[in-house]
Amino acid sequence: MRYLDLRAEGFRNLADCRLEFHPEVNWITGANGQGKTNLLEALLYLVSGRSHRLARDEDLVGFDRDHFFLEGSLADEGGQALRFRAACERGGRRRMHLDGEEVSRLADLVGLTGTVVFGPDDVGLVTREPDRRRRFLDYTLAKTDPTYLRDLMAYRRILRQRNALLQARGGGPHLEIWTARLIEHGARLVLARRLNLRVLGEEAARFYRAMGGDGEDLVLTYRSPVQGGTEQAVAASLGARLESLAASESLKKQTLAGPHRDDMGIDIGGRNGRKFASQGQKRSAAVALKLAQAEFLARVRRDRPIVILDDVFSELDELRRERLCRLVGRQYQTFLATPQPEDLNRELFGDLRRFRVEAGRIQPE
Amino acid sequence: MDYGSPLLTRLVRGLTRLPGIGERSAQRIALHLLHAPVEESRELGRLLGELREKVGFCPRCGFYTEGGLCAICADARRNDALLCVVEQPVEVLSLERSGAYRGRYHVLGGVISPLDGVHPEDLNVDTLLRRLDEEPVAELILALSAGVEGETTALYLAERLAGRALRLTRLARGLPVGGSLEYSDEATLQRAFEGRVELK
Repeated sequence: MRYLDLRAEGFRNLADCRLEFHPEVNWITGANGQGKTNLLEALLYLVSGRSHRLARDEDLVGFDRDHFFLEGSLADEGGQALRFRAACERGGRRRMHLDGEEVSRLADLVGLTGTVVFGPDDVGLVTREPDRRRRFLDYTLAKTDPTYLRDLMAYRRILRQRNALLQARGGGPHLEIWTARLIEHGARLVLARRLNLRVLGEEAARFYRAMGGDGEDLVLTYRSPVQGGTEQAVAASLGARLESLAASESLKKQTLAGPHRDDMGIDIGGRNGRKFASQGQKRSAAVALKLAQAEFLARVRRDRPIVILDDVFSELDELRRERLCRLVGRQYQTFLATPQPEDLNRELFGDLRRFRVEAGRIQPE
Repeated sequence: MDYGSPLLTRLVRGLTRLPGIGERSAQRIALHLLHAPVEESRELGRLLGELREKVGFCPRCGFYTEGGLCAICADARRNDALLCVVEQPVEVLSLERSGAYRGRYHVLGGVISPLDGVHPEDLNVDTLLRRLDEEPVAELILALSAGVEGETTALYLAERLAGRALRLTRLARGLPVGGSLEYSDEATLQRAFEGRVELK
């Protein structure tokens, strides 16, 4: 999938504009605070209804405006054009349209165009708490497997109920029922994560190698005390684990084992990347993970994702920068924003279009 | 909003507290009562006054009654071998309207949900077990909601009923009648597949 053009009115600080994009590389430059990220946000929002900064619809309306309006055409792999429209009045409900028809389920949009955004904060995928990595895995799998989504929703609800019971009574006779239900859905989640992580891991390793330069390998593992290669085996293992934790659970009043406590291990060169990797390695690993996710999602959708890189070069060395550019520029339509023009060696790309952003005004070169 | 009469204003405000009634509807109802024949509002007032005094719950099944057994429990033409467990009395109304069922009911009073402070002993489980001891029930049909709590409650009941010579069933899940595959969500389709039945 790739963007052909975009029309934006009243979106954040952006001056009303009509832009036509390069099919491969679109480079957005401008000092901080001028509106680079707002443009990237508009590109993501229009095709997915979400903001990578988790903004509310209301916040997207320009400061002195009463509504925003976005419209853009995209072309899929076969060259077929799709027309997206998103609009929201201040204090009103946003409306999304695809080829003139209102989109009621956001999920229908998300499945349509894979868009991967990488921002400065995304290195947290490697460095921060396990929760970030679990959400990454859950999102990836839920988007590609409705059974996973169903198990995940049920699991989360059961977990809340079980914790509420532990809180209220520290256990009691009907804890067993919640435990049985937790195991039923939890075992399927653990197994699906473990199986799919192999595919995702291979993809991420490939990207890391292509970008790396340190000759070291990226290896993703599923970290869980729960073992087993079949649903029954995982269920038995999780059951045994919960049983051994029964005393601690009634003391701490929460569920202490299950997929909500597991983690994704990110090893670089055989060592825990979270602790031992350099900034550059961590950042490369995070980029590799996001690209792997995009590929994983694209495989199901049979279309290429759009890649948005928001100020990711600052902590990459020259070699990694160069390799990342070569990697994404050739395979995907890429939007990349950098604060300094010298952050990017445009010789790396055969051809690109540059946009300068100043005080919300976007000037194509 | 000032209706020119404090009483009218209070009536409108009171009506807006009812489920599904906004200010506009409340105003329409109040003004209708004001202009309609006086018997209409007298009769309504009398009914409202008696509602809480006379209508209670059936001591056997938990459905609505004006004292003694409810009409369904008292109906000798009902099939004693079938007992259907529902969460709330309102579900009895839905099932009765469908005309699909001629057995008897048992209102559980909710589903297990620790988040809402509802535990098994808050439900009418003991009365259910007693009924199963006393009545010639051959099949117990669980008609609980399809969410996590409904399913957990079903599991809990199944455990409490283990060892009894009783057929335990639950309502089928799947495609709505007249529904098309194209517009069904994935979870529903999955359930429909799991619950497929033999064409005889």
